[in-house]
Amino acid sequence: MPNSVLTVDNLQTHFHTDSGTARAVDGVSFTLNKGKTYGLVGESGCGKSVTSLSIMRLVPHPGRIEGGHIFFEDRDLVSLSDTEMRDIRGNDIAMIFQEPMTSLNPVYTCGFQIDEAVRRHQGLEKTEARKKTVEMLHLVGLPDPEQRANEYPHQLSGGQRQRVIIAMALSCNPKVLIADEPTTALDVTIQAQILDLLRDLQQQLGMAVLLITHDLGIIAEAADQVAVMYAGKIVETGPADAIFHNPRHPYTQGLLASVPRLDIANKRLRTIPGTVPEATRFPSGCRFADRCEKVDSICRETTPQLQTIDGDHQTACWMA
Amino acid sequence: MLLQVQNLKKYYPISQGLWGRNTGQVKAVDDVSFDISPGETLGLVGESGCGKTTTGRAILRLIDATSGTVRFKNTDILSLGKKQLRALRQHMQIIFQDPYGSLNPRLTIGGILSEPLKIHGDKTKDRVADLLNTVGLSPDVARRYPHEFSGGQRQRIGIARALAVKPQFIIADEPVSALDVSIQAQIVNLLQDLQAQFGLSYLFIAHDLSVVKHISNRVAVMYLGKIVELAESQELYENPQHPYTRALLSSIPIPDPRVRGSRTILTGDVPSPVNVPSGCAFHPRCPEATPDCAHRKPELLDIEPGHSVACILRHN
Ligand SMILES: Nc1ncnc2c1ncn2[C@@H]1O[C@H](COP(=O)(O)OP(=O)(O)OP(=O)(O)O)[C@@H](O)[C@H]1O
Ligand SMILES: Nc1ncnc2c1ncn2[C@@H]1O[C@H](COP(=O)(O)OP(=O)(O)OP(=O)(O)O)[C@@H](O)[C@H]1O
Ligand code: SF4
Ligand code: SF4
Ligand SMILES: [Mg+2]
Ligand SMILES: [Mg+2]
Repeated sequence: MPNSVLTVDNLQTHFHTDSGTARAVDGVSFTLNKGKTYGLVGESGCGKSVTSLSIMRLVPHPGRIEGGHIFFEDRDLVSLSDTEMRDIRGNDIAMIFQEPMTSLNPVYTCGFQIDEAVRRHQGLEKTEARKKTVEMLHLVGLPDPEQRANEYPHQLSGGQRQRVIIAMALSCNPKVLIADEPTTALDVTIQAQILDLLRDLQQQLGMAVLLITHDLGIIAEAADQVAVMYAGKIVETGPADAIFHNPRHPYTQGLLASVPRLDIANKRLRTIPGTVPEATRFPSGCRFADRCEKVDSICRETTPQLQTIDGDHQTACWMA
Repeated sequence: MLLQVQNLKKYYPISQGLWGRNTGQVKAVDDVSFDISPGETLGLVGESGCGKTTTGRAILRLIDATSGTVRFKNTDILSLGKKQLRALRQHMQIIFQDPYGSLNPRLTIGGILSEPLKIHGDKTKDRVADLLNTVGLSPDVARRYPHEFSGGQRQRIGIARALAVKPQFIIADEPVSALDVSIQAQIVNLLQDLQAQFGLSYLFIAHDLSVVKHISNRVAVMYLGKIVELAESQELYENPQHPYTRALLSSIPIPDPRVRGSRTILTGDVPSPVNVPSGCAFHPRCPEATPDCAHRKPELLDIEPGHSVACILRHN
């Protein structure tokens, strides 16, 4: 594909813990395209953050990438040295995290932290770096950017801090932006501002975005392509419209039916019985089987693979 | 009327400097009034820090209100003595957002559920089994400890604990905010079933309007310590009148890619209740603000029976 920027191919990231091996990410594949947003959605613990940390090569101990490839511009990130990876991280591929406070250092001013990023990655002089910093803060809509650059993270509101993080992430013109729950910690009116900002910036700068969230509303609002993750695997993927209007996997169907809707009067919510299995104790066969109302004997014997439904709409379910 | 809240205020002093002098006040709850009928659910929504939790806690006297009255079945709660208050607490319970933090980690589930029972002398063991059944858990779990349960299961235990004393009124403070969607739906349905079964009334506090609309008969929208709009749920969503309610509704992403776009996006941040803007507190962010709005404090007035709004443009 001419527009593909980053391709994750059969990624396996496991955690070797005292209670066994957690197959947090277990054979995940997808492609990010230039100027497009790829939405990764799923419930807590399904492996969304580990997927993004794997791409950044920041998987914490005791986790390890055990298999697969992450192709970025003809290079496989999985096999790069730490030094080579450091060049790519924050430069070609940038990431914004859920909790704005953790990605800013409280003892330095916001401006200084962005200055450092652009000096390190773009080799700019001090004054040029500051110029770039102010330009970025302006771009993300922070009022009085010159003055704000001299403030410390705690002097800003949650929404303003997230703007600073976005400014820092975008300061080196990354080709890929990974946004892991970028608005989860924010109030809805501020969330709307930040999602709007990300969309504007993507249009202006043309980067590929990997948007990770548990909120189906945000996915519907922002993603072009969607992948639904369950217990370490992608169970359904396709264009946003197909996922929301023609979901084929029982888990996707259940998730959509369990969200209360503002625009539709739903009398009683549908629920998915049971809970997500623990990553150290995934059942064999289909990992959704214990909660699935369509389960059949084959489901517990053989793991369903992603099969094409139509175009690039795929689902991993024996009954679909 | 089961519960009647009138002109409830809770101001926190701000002390600063070496001598801890009072340098101002946080008007966390500033003149809030509403009522709740038997069997009714009133939703209370608003963004972080607007005063939802403070309102709930002041009603139960978990904190002392600055002024106002709270009547529960015509008893004025705020003027009760300790003993009378304890008797009344049997009828009013609270469920918290963080089911883990609110369960004593050293007690078994059985211990947690029988704790409130002991005070009121009941046949403890049967009642515990009964309670666990009611919230969809097996009576076997009574011997286990809170850390052995998932978030959704812990929330069920929190609900069972609240039900232990057979209350008539439950304040649910963000009971599903920490849960995954599929689990959230289980808890929302459970709360609705319990309401039908026991005729419970709820004050349902949340920042998620979709959940609130789903579960509530009426909804009150709060902004900086005040209710800015109150109406039947359907009416509020179909015919929102306060500019803040409209913006809030339009900020919520709809899980349907075919209805993307065209949203009212508020500029600016939620101001702190330490520095409440003059006049209408919403005026610095209000897309409809007029010069008058910076001076006149809008009151919460009925614009139709059962639908009240605090905005000067909607009055007269
Ligand atoms: N540091 C760790 N040690 C052991 N296991 C881990 C660790 N971090 C993650 N895991 C495992 O990886 C799984 C996936 O975690 P991940 O953080 O990717 O979930 P997520 O989808 O991002 O969830 P959330 O929505 O809660 O952020 C977890 O269920 C857990 O089993
Ligand atoms: N003990 C306290 N002392 C001083 N100020 C307080 C205290 N408790 C709450 N406040 C302030 O009162 C205001 C209202 O807080 P409250 O917890 O009621 O908000 P909330 O609507 O429940 O918010 P959230 O959605 O974040 O739970 C906040 O500005 C808060 O900082
Ligand atoms: S493969 Fe079987 S168990 Fe799995 S989702 Fe499909 S029907 Fe359900
Ligand atoms: S009173 Fe004025 S500022 Fe307040 S909500 Fe109405 S129009 Fe907006
Ligand atoms: Mg995560
Ligand atoms: Mg609260």
